[in-house]
Formats: sequence, C-alpha cells, structure tokens
Amino acid sequence: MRFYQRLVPYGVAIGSTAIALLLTLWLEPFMFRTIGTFFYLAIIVTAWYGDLRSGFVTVVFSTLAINYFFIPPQHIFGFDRGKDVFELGIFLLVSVTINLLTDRFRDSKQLAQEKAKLLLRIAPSAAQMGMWNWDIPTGQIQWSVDHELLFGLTPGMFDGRYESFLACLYPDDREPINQALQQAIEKNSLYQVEYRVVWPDGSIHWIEARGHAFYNQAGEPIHMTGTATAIDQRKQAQGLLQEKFEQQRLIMEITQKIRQSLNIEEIFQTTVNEIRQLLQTDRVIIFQFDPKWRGTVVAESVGTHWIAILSTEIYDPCFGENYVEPYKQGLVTVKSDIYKAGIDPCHLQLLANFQVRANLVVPIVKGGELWGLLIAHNCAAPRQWQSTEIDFMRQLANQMSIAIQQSELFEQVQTELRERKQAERALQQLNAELEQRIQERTAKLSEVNDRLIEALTALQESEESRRLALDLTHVGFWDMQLPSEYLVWNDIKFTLLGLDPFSIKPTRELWRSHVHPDDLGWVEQKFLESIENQTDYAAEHRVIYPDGSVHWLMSRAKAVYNELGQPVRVLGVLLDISDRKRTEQILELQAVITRNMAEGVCLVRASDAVIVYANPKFEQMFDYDSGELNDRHVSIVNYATEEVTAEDVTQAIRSAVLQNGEAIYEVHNVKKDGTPFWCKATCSVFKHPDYGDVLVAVHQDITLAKHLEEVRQQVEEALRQSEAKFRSLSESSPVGIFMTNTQGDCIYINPRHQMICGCTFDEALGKSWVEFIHPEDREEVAAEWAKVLSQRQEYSSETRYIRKDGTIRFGRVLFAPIFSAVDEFVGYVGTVEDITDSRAIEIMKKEFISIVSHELRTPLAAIRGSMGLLASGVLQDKPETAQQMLDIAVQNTERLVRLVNDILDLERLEARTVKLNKQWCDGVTLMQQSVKTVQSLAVQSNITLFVEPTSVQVWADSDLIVQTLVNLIGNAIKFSPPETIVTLSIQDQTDQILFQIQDQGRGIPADKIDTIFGRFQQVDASDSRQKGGTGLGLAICKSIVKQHGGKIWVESVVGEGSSFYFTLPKLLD
Amino acid sequence: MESVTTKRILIVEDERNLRTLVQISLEVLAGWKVIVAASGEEGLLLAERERPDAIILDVMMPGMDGITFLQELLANPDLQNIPVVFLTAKAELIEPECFAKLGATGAIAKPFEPLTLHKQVASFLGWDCE
Repeated sequence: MRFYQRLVPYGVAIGSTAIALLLTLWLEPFMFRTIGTFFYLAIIVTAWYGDLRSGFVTVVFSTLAINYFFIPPQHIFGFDRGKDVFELGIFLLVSVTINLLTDRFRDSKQLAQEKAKLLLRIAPSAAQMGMWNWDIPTGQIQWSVDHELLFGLTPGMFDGRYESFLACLYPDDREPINQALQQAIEKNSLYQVEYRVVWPDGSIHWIEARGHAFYNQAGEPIHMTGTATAIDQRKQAQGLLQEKFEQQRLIMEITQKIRQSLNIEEIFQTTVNEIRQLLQTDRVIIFQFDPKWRGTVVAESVGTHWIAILSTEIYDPCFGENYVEPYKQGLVTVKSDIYKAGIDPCHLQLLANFQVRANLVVPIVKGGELWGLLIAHNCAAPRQWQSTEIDFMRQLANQMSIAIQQSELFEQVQTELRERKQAERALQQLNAELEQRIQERTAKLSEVNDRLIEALTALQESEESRRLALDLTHVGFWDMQLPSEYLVWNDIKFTLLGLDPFSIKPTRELWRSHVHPDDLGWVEQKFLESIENQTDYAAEHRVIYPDGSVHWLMSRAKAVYNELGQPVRVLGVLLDISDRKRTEQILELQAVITRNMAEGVCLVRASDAVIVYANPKFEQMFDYDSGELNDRHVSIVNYATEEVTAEDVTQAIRSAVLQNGEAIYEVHNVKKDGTPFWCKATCSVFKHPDYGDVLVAVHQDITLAKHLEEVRQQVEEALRQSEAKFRSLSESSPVGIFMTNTQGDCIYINPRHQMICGCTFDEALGKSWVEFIHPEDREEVAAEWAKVLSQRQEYSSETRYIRKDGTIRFGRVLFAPIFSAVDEFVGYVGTVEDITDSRAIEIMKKEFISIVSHELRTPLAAIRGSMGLLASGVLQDKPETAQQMLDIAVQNTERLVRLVNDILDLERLEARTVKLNKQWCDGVTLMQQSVKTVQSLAVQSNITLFVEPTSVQVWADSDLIVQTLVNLIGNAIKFSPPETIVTLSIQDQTDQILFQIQDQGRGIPADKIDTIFGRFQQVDASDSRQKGGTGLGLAICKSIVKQHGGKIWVESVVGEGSSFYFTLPKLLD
Repeated sequence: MESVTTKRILIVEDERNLRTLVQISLEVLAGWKVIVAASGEEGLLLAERERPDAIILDVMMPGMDGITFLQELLANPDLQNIPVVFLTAKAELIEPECFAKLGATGAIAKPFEPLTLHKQVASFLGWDCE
C-alpha cells in the first residue's frame, strides 16, 4: 500500500469534519440542540472509509470544533458552564460509539467476503472434484490431488502420461473417451463423459468428467482443462431404478402374456427366461407339486455351465406337511448361502446335487392350495437377495397363479367343447349312417353276394393249407387201451376240451362230460359201431368248454385189433373245426338269403356275358324254369326296341359296371313270353374263383311302380291342367270374381275385380268387398250384406265402386254361398259385372229417345193440331186462319219427312249398312256440284258462294261427300248475314285432303264447339228449326267423314265467322 | 164458378207453329185472350207484366227450359199463384204425381187435340168453359 493511500483516511477525517462544521455554522439558526448531527455523519463516513484511527481523528477535530465555535464562550476553547461540559462529554461519548460501531460493521462485512473466497478455494476438494489440465502440444497431464484420489491413486502416483490415464479406465470405456476428447477439440465444444475407473484394488468406480479446450490465435488447441467428479452413488441409484423398471416391465409383460395367451407352457418358459436374465442368476425353475408333495420341474431357464433339471421329478423327504402350510400362507424362503443357513442335511444334499449355492423360493398358490414353487438358484457363489428381487418374484408368482387358473379354465372349456363336438359328430354320423343304410339297402344285398363268393373262394383256397396247419399245430391225440379204457391224452387234447393240459386225469367219463349233450348219443353210438365193424371212426360234433362256450371238433379214430379180432387199443385225433363250421353256417345262411330274396339275382360272366347263376326269384321274374337261364347269353332278358337291340343294352350295362365297379339303373327287360317289363337293377362286379370277373345283378320288378308313377304323373298333369283351366277361367274372366271366407272377408279376387275396385290382390285380401263401395252407398249395402251373410242367402245389387284414384265404376254384384260336400258353409263366391259403360249407354239412349220423341212429336202436334182445326170446321169463317193452318201442316209435314230421312240416313251410316261407293273424283267438282244444289238458297239469302279452283283428286263416295258439303254450305248460308261470302277451298296435304268451308256468320260459342256434331245438339234448336234444320245434319256429316276414315272439326270466333274442316285420307299405295 | 170469358192465358212455347196453333185453338174455341212468349225468359217478363190467369208451358225449350221457368215463377211471390199447365212431349210429365211434384197444376201431352185443348186446360184449372 502506497504512502498517500494511508493518509487518505485522515484527509477524509479532516475534510469531513470541516464540511460538518461549515454546514452546522451555516444552518445553525435552524438547528437547536442537534449540533452534533453533521459531525456524527462525518465520523461515520470517515470510519467507514478509513478505520478506527481515522475515525478518532474526526472525533477529536469535531469535539474541538464544537468547543471552539458553539460552546460559550465562543471562538475560545474552554467552558463557562458545567452543562456545556456535560453536553460535550455526551457528544464525545456518542461519537466514539458511532466510530466503533461503524468500524466494526465494516470489518464484519470484509470478513464475510474473505470467508467466501476461502470456501471457494476448498469447495472442489470437499466435493471430491478433481481438476485436470492437459497440455496438448507436450501431452503432459496435470491432476489435482483430488483427481488422483478419484482414481484410487495416492497423491503423486500419476505420472502425467495420457497412456497411464487410459490404463486406469475400464477397457470398454477407453475408446469412447478418445472419441469424445477428439470431438471436443475439433469442434470447440464441451467435453463431458461418464466413464468407469478400475482402481488398483480392482473395484470399479464411476466418474463424470467435463472440460474445455483452449486455443491460440492460430486456432490450434493449446490445452484442455476440466474437472472430474465421482458419480458412483448416482449410478447406483440409476441402476436400482433401471432394475426396478425392468422388474415392472417384466411383470407387465407376463401379465399381458397371460391375458393374451392361454398357452401355459409358453408363459412359464417366458417367465423363467426373463427372471433369470433380470436377476442375472444361474437358474430359475417352476416346480409343480403332485398330491403327495412330490413334484416336477415344469419350466426352467438355466445358464450353460449348470446342469439342467427340467422335467426332473423331485421328492424332498424333508419338505413334508411342515412346509405346506407356511408356503400356503405366502412364506418365502431366502437363502444367501445354503451352507450357512442351517438347512436339514437331506435337503442340503438335494440342493447340492443341483449345484445350488443360494436360493430364493416363493410359493405359487392357486385357489388357496399350494400349486408349486417359483425358485431362483444362484450356483456360482453365495448371493444376498435384495428385497426388491424378492418382491419381484412374489408378484410373478401371483401372476403365475392367475395364468394357471385361466389356463385350466380354458382347458375345461376346451374339453367341454370337444365333448360336445364329439357328441354332435356322433349324432351326425348316426344320421348319416341311418340314411346310408337306407340308401344302400340294394347295395348291401349285392354285398351279400360279394361275401358269398369271397367266402367260397377263400374257403377253397385256404382249406388245404389251413387244415395242414391245424393238423401240425393243433391236433389232439389220444390213445386208449381196451378193455381197461386206460387213456393217454396229449396236451392239445386237453386244450381242445378247454382244460389246462394234464390238470386232470384223462378218463372216458371226462371226455363224455365235455361232449355236447345233443351230440353225445350219436357220437358214442357211431364210435362203438365203427369199432365193432372195424371201420374208421370219423365224426364232427360239439364240445362244451368249462366256461360254457361251444366248439366244434372233428374226431377220427382207428382201433387196433388182436388176432381174435377184438379191439385192444384205439388211437384217435381231434381237430378244432369251429371256424370252418361257422363259415359253413354263414355260407348256408347267405345261400338261403340269396335263394329267398325278394329281388332277382343273377350272376353274369364278364368275359362273355353268359348267365352263370340266377336265383329262383330271378327265374320267376322272367318266367323261366329253374336252371333254364344258366349258360344263356344275358341279352335274352333285355328288351329290344326298334332303336336299340338287346345286345346294345347288355353291352351298355356291362361297360358301365366294368368302368365304375357298380351301376344302378332302370332297364327294360323282357319275359320268356316276350312281355316287356321294367326293372330297377343294381349291378356290381366281383372276382369269381371259377368264372373270373362276374357281374352280380340284383333286379327288382318296377313295372307296377312305374305304372303307378305314370298314373300319378297323369293325374298330376290332369290336375295341373284342370287347375290351369280354372285359373285362366278366373284370371281371364271378363266378370269380376271373388271368394270370401265365412266372415265375408276376401280370400280371392280375380284381376277383373281388382280392376273394378282399383286395388291389388294383396290390398283386397282379408277385407270385406263392401270397403270398396262408394261411401254414399256403403252403409245401405253393408247392412243388406250383413243380413244376407248371416242367413247365407244369395245376394244381388247394383252399386257404385270407388277406386283409389276417385273414379267410380258401376257394378252389378251377385253372390252365392258356397257349401262343402258335407253341406258346411265355407264362404261366398261373388261376381261383379262392370256396368258403367252399358249404364252410360242406357242413359244416353234414354236421353236420345226423349229428344227424338220431342222432335217427332213437335211437327206431329203441329200437323195434328192444324188439320184438326181445319177438319172441325171452326175456321170456316176465317179463311186466312184456315190457310195459315194449311201452311203449318205442309211445313211440318216436310219437316217430319226431313227428320225421318235424316234419322234413317244416320242410322244407316252408323250401322254401317251404307256401302261406300268410292271412286276417283275431283274435289273441286264435288264442291261445285254442292254449290249448285244450294245456290238458290244462297241467292235467296243474298250470300255469295266462292269455290277456290284447286283441282285435287280424291278417292271417295262422291254422293256422300256432296251431301256433307251441301250440309255444311247450307249451315253456313243459314247462319250468315246477307252480303257475306262463304268460301270453299281444298288442300292437298301430305297424307290427306283437307276441305274447308269458311263463313262470316255469327260463329259458335266455345262451349258448343265440342258438341255440335252430336245429334240434336244445335246451338239454338228453335232457331235452327226455323231455318229448316233437323238437328242431325252435322251428325250425318261426321258419320260420313268417319266412314271415309277422315276427321271433321270446326274453328270459330263468335261474331266473326266459322270454318268447318274435314279431311279425307289419301289412298295409300 | 167465375166467368171465363175474361181469362187471359200466357203461352210459353219455342215452336212457332205450335204457339200459333195453341193460340188459335184457345182464342177461337174458348174465347180466351192469349199472350205468347217464344222462350222462358220472355215468358217470365210477360208473366210479370201481364199477370195472366194461367200459363201453358212447353217443357223442352232451348235456353231456359220449362222446369226452370216454373221454379223461377214459384220463387216469385207475385207470380207463384198463377197456375201452370205443361204442354209437353215428355211422357213421364203427364203423370199427375210427377207434374204436381214440380209445382204444375196440370199437363197435356203433345200432340194435343186442338179442339178440346181449352177444355183440358179448363178442367185442370177448375174453370167452366161451356
């Protein structure tokens, strides 16, 4: 510290005191007893800036200044009053105190800073953090003491070489560090690695190193500096965490597997594999108990160095009942070293056999019962099992238990399913068999033949050899001395009687007792007879074994006689012929079946189609005598037609059978007398020992069945035709038909009736017909119908039907009740006739008659009236009136004649009794001709008639066309005012000729346009009558045009005139 | 029995000849005064104006027919008491129940007997015309 620096605090002391003094002097008038304030501040400033000593300087100067300037006597050092001395003393005391306090405070702050610096220095050491520096150009490394300690070295041991550093590392970590360093230097990035160090004592420790490289201005790395920290604990914690996580993952995985898989073996295997991997142990097994507490290793995962004990059955005599209960309660046995665990010697021996050193056993409890054990073995060394590991094993054991239960459940379900399936299959099979049995009845019959032939063949083939074999192997011998009847039997003889050889002394009586009672009599008799007659004895008879079974034996014997001819000895042999007998019986049975079968059977040699055998039924079917068919060509039974010969039929059957081995067919056969008949046949091919391939044909006469079928088909056809007939009768009937049930609801409705009702079949079904009646009529009809229905009477009415679209049809309805053959009422049948059109015609007719009658009566009334008046003579004095009467009579007579003529014309035209006399004529000529006829009338009315002179040839009845034109022109004249023109024209159009008569008359009201061509449909009747019309003119015109195949119409504007048109078709080539 | 000489009859008939006949017949033989109308419409006007003692009415007429004419007449309180006799070719209207239902007093068929027409009319109307 420089000299002046030391003086600064004192300078501050003096300066601050001076400033305090000046301020106090300046501000004195405003201050009272607080003189010391500024001086105190000066002391604080000084003491803070400098130290205690400079503070004291300020105190002294301040005290002097106060004494000099403020304490009387002023400007003199000294005191007048004791009070001032006291005041100054107080100031002094306070000042010193302040000085002391300030100094102290500043010190304590400095101290804290010092302490912090110290702590920073020792922190790395305390945190076990080593420092390192690597001089890159020289390669020299410097480590702090702590760094060396982190590497397990005593301070000073590290020689500073990079290679020595690497040598300390865990071999696997060396290369990563090289790379990390290189990367950090190249990229100027932070170097941060975690690595393992192998201490000289072999223990491994985790280190985290960080560092950074420094570069010169050329960008070359100069050195790298950093820290190293021990992270063993963190790593350990991480490891534990990882382990815990792994355990949880495994448990999850196994749980999932259990849910997904029902394959218990797979679950077991996965479990043990995973456990072993996770616990890094040598063997993991699952052990399953049987009821006697023996058990089997059902799953195992074992290291390669250790013996595998999978499937080993283990019986631990020490286990017993003592362990069961604790295990059931969840006991876990944990042995870190079996040799130090005080285990029973026998158990120890067992474990030692399996190379076990430490084990961990958890029970697998299923449904409250001890199912087995989950066991982990450490074989290499003792092992301290961790609590997490134990928990882990327990959890897995629980999961195992669930898996086992699920699996068993599944197995149970599977079994049930399988059983049900089997039952179903059996049922199906049974059904199938039944069906098959029915279907294959015929086939079976042929099979009988098959067996027959086969058995015959087999018998013949095997007879010799079998006999020989039996003779050699199963022949019983006996030897009897006579008359002592001393018997010797060989062992077979005993066997042939169902006895154990030599178990009993052979006697004649023993023999007799075994012979079948039914056979004993004749056998004995035959035996005695043959001895007496000196002939060989041979018999086939039955014996009964002690167990009651019956066997056939063939017995032969020969006696030896002395010179006196007396028998002295009899030698015999016995053979068991039960099999042969059985075969013979079956053959006989089959032969009987064949002979007596309802079907005819014949055997035909395949090579030449010759019959080798025909059973009686077959012969009978074809009307041949017994054996007559044998050796005949089979074609004699086949019926020949013009198309097919009998040989062809035979050949066709043969080919079919030989190709497929079997054939079922219907064949037209013929009897001996030439009567054809139909057979159903089943034919199969077999190998016959004598004839080679043989066709066995089973025939069934189906003439009757065929006939019945034909009859049935005929009846069916007749029925079908009848049904079709009646159906078409109903479906096509022009009358509506329907049927009801007893309630009157529709059960059938034919198309015509549907049309009348405007409904479909389905809509009408089940409904009453009354529902289709017009609502206005319905009530009345329904009431009547109900009455009729209840009394089952016939019913008829005319009524209105209303359809869905609102149109109305008139129907004449007739109903009759239907009774069954036993007079039971079954419903109604009804017909409906659509009388809508005829009704309309009827109405039209009535109206027409009414009009005609009016039209006729009117002129008649006029004639009758006028003539009557004249005749009576009342008008004798009134000649003018009389004349008037005569005129009326004449006029009306003419009118009547016209009317009658018109009516007749019209009737003739409409009845088509008029034959059109068609010829080629010129339209213009026709028009001119017509004009001539009415010219006088036109002149009278002062009307001009104009004909457009277009010449067009028409093919028509000229008289009728002229009549039409005259009518139309006449009308035009009548209804046109004077001084107007009526124009006639003709147009040649594409396919027709158009005539037009145009006037300038009063026109026709629009509402009349459509009707004026009707009869008596004048626009104004009285008006027209006055003009001499009959009201039929236009109707006649229309009829004529129509007869020609043309059309007639009018276009008109009231007040302007009308145009009448008609067309005539052109004659088509 | 009141005097018939002063009777005035309205004839509604579209047929001119028949109109004339009826008119002559009634005027000559009965001495009645006859008014004629050629249509229903004209007839109503004349009935209103002339107030005849009776009306002889044709039924089938173009325009307003006889039935409509009668309905109009009956609907008019001033005219509804005038008796009406149909002169018609319609056979069914001759039946008493039929014309009575329509509101007519009588009906005479066409063709009619001109010499006795007035008597027929009088008998329907209860008039003495001898």
